[in-house]
Amino acid sequence: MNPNASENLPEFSREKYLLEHSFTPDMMPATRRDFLLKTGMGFGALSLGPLFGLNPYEASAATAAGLATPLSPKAPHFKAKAKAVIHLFASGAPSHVDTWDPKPALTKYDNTSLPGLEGLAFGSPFKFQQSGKSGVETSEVFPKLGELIDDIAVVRSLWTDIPAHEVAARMMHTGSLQLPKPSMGSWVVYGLGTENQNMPGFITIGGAPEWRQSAFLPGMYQGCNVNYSSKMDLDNVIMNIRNQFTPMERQRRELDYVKKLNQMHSAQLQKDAQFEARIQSFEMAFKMQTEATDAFDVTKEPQEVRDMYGTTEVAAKLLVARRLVERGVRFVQVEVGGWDHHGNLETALRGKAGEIDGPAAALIKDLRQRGMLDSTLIIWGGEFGRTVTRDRNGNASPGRDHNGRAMVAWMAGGGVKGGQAYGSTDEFGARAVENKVHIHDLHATLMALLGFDHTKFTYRYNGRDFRFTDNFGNVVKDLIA
Amino acid sequence: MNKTAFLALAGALGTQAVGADEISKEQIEFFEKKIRPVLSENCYKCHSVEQGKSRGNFTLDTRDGIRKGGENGAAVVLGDPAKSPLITSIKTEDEDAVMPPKKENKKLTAQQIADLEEWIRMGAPDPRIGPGKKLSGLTPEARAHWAYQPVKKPEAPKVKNRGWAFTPLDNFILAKIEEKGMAPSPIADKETILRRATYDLIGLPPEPKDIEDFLKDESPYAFAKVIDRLLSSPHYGERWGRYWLDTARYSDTTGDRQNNRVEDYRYPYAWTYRDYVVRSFNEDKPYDRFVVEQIAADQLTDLKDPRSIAALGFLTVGQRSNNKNDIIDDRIDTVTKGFLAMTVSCARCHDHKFDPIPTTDYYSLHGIFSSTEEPDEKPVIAQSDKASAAEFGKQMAKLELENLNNYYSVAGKYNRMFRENAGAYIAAAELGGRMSSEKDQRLSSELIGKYNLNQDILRGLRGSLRRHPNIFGPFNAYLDGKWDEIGSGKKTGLNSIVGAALLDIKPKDLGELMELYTRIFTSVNIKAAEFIRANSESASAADKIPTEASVVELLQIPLRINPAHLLTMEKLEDEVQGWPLGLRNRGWVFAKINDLKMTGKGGDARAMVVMDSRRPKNSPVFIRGQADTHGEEVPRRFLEVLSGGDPKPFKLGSGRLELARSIADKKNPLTARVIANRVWMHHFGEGLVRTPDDLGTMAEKPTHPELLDYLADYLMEQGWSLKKLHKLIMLSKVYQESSYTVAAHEQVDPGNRLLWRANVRRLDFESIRDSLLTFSGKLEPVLGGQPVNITDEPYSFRRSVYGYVDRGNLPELMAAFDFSNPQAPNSKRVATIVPQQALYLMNSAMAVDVARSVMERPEVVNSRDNLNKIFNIYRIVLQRAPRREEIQMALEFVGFEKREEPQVLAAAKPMVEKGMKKVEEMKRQMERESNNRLAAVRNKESQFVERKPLTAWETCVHALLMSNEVVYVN
Repeated sequence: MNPNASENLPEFSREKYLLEHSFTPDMMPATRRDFLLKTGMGFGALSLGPLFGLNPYEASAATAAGLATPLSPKAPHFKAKAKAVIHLFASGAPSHVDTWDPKPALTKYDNTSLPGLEGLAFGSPFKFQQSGKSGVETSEVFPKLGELIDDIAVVRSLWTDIPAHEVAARMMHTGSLQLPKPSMGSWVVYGLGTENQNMPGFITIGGAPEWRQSAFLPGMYQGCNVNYSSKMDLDNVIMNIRNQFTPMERQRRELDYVKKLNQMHSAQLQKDAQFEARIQSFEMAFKMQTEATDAFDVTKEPQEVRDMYGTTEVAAKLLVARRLVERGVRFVQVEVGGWDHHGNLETALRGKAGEIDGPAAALIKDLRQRGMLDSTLIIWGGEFGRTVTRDRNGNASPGRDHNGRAMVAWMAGGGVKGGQAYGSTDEFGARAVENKVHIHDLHATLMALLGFDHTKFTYRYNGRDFRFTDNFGNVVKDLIA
Repeated sequence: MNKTAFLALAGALGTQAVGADEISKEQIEFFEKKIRPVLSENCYKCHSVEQGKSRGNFTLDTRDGIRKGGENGAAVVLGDPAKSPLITSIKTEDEDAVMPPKKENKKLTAQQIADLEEWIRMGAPDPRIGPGKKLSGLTPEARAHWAYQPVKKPEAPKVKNRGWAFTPLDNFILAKIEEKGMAPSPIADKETILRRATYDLIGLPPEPKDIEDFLKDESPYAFAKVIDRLLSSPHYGERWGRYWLDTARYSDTTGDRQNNRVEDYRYPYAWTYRDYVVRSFNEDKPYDRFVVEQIAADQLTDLKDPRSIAALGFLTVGQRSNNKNDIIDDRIDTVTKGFLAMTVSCARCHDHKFDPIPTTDYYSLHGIFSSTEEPDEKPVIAQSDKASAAEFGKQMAKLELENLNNYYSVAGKYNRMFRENAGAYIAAAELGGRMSSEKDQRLSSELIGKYNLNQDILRGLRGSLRRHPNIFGPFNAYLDGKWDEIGSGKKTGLNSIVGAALLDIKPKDLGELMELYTRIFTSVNIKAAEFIRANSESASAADKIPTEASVVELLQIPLRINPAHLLTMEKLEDEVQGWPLGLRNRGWVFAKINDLKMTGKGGDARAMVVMDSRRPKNSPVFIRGQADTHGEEVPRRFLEVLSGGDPKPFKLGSGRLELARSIADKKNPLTARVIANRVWMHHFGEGLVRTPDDLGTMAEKPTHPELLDYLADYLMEQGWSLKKLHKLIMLSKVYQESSYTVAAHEQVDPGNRLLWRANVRRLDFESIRDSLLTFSGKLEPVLGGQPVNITDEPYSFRRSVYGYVDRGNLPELMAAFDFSNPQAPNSKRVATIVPQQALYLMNSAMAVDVARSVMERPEVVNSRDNLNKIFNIYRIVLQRAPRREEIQMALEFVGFEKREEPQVLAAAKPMVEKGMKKVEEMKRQMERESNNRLAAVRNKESQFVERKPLTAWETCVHALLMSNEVVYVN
């Protein structure tokens, strides 16, 4: 259509039009937080209770009534330090005895058969030394994390049920071996909402779909996956985040026009809470376009910060994780995988450890410098551990097979009591024996760090109250500062 | 309980009663001081009615509880502490079994233990007499729950405002509204009612012509005519079929992406079930018949439409895993929630905690589904025309041949690799076994290193060793030092080549024995090529298999080589599935075969059927749901509470048909209520019971129980016709109320549970997307067929019900719009409001395409003037005339944007260029995906949306698409 064709359109000045059709700051609060404050709803007024058990339909109806959306920040059962989680998932299942669980006896009996175990012992090729004030022994493959051991709690007595990658990873992320259950991040966002309504509350950087699934929780709690790489086009980070047809200035006018239409519709028909919530969602979406992509732009970081993390892809992902948490994202999950070392362990594991050591240490330091370490819980770990014997797969240089009876994870920040190695495995590291921590226990502890009693944190679905920890889980109090 | 009864019970439970009923005062005191506090402090947390916990099905806060015990039998043996599990489990050194559990950090003192022992020696005198409660739904109260009582046709209640009601339904509603001193809302205007009815029945907006017709029709039957028109539209089945697919947890995939599986994770023929469902709704198949077909169509002798066998997809399109019992559980769950709104799967591990469903009920159904199998080859239910079938057949034959060639080449190659080093392989496998000594293991490792043995071949060989004692027996005998007894080829029954080679030979060491075996195996190399060729030539004839059996046997170590004429692709898959991990993922085209089946034109349509196994059998109860811990065997039968407490064992085959008939029986109190409640829910936004898949004791009571019964009774009376039920509901006055709210009423009933007004409902994902396509005029009204891509560019113009559903990876877009979770029956959708939904309408290429297409529709192009244009746009997008202010606003908006055009074009330039690049990228991606083993279904029938800025008018339409009015029905 020719834009200059004469049509029976009324004449208006641009200024007048904008004046009439744009919203004043009063009408549209900048953030959800402002909105709540403006409507007299401080955070104190937002209790978890009324929104739990409500279906989102009702919850969204509660929104415009001045309460909050199902994604607004919510207070947990009790006061807690951790407000956000960064889960570094070491998929492939890292060996515990080469990373965080030194076993001198295994080295001593290297290449002999061990009682009750199939195959020949494989003493770790790596040296361990005492680190930090706490003197916890750390592996030479993690020199930088070793220096920070006083911030880190190593769980040496972790174990899981089935040492097969897919099943065990499902266990780690959803607390379920077989049935589709919501993922950790979905539970956390369901429980705590999220701080920044212009960003998804749960973002995954890589990983399998079921590690971010909301299952029976409403779809809004599903993790938003970003196949981030430092070279990626920022337009691709979130589905439909970038318009390819209409410049933002016009889009703003278009949305203002829509808002007018919507207000007339509400006035004509009736005030319905859903209508108001939907109007808000467009405003959030509009802001998300700039804010969400900005979070992924690590070039905006000062050079010294970028230097601290390093120049690798893993470094960029961890730096992005920090930028996301800083912007109020509740749960960030980064897959830093490749730990399935059936053979050639000495070289391969050293390489993998080297990838994560510097960036993870930088993440801890960076968060501390910004005063965010206390409120941000970092978890590193895989889906199971490895055998202490050689995997007999014919590789010239040995590796280790799968083992669910012993594995390792560490946590830092977020109210974790650092500088300790909790629990222990047997003499050779074949199985957890002292103060055993099952994955359910780890989950229960994570929930406690975030302020939840995991036994009371439920969602009603199909006639049953479901828990993240199913019918299991004990909080490991010694891990909490 | 009197003494005799107690003794009888105790006897039956294997408990010894040592005259323990008379309790002296001293004994009571002893109990209260020394025993009760210990139990309460240390045990009640997990084992008490009081705490609502019965771990191990065991409570000890009552006398009966402690005496009956739990899964492991009585907790006390009266008079004998040493034999009482209560004591032994406290004293045990086994950390995993000790009570209280180690993690509780509670340890009884020696004195406390001594007291407990003393107490048991006394005969465990226990004043805590009361029923031996377990937390269980097996109570008279639960059995008396309203939902399990027969459906009775109620009288319509009297109301004050007698003139209000259109139908008896209205009396039920009005009576409750009047009770609260309120009044119902007035009837909505015609446009609103038409829009509501059209979305309700066909999931699409009314067309402008429908509006005109209805507005013009002033007869009292105008709305009834509309209902009839909509019910006879084929789109009705698409809309209501989709609802049912939510209940049936429909998906085109298994959800199992295990990377060590050779097979694809897709169901290439799930869509034949989806089409069956759509067809059944369109035909108004009596609902009871619909039930029976979906459970037991294979056993019906009167299937009129042979395609109806696809009904069994109800059972088979569920979640799959490696665990047979989980697959059975999925079927039990779907059948019982889907038809009965009962949560029977809760009784897999323990009696249902709230509803009257014992584990025996669960395992009676378990027996039925455990006696149900899927055939190797799925039956063909429809064929394509000859020409396209021929082309399809050619492509399929090519892929199948590729798979077969791969099979023979991989098996041939690895068997040859084995033969070349047979001696070393056998020695390494034998010596490296689980139980071998350190020395043997070391030797095994050395052999592996020295001969560079392949681990997968070794794994495969371990199975063969056991299967072929006639080949490997002598080798074993040598290692066991028994060569002289059974080695040296003297043993009868040996493979004749092996026997001949070893006759009268005594190897001086292992090395020589290895060499002998290698020679035995390499001696048949010369026959290998011929043997494989003979097998791979698909011409049947067993006589083609050459040479003696002894050679044939040696050639199939470690991998079996089957003749091609016996190998369907399904069988081949099974065969390969049995191979060691590393050999499985090599060059197969199973996924491409599924690609062809799901996207190719000209293939057969097949049904995902089941059949009874040849020897149906009962299942035992699995204690705590653990498959290896068996309790009593349960006959295959119907649920207790629905059989008057006395279910009769099923007699026909697996019992599926009898199960189906029991569910579809008019006397079954649940079936009609459950579907009537769901139909009501989809018309009003909420059911009379708000949990459509659970009508058990934990569910909220129905708001209008009599109305629910009235609907259920009407449905059955009308021959289970759902279309008649729709009409009954829609002709009621309550259905036609306006959604205007009344502040005073909001105070009394904020959730509108009494239906004093119509609910405002957000459209579901399918209706939103289908509406957009309708506006654009591009909707392809074709019914049925293979699944299509509805989420990504270039997307299909088919209705959303035909979209590909991957339960393992639901597209983000569908998840963002609250698509039903296809992991389990979910008849009710939620309606969340999140920014991702807004982004879809703001930025997606589809919304842009729709806005442009609306402007290209003839009635818009041919508009007389701008005013007329706005009228036409409103008719299409909002199905009503614009109001005066709306016209004004639209004109202002367009006028302004037209003047801004130069700036907009300039600003849009880089975005558009980027967009074009993105399209190129997507095209390349599609190319890559079509070569990818796990390619998603993509329907390449449509075009990419052109990257260029929207015009002012198009932007105006685009804005209207985003408005609240489009996505809400009021």
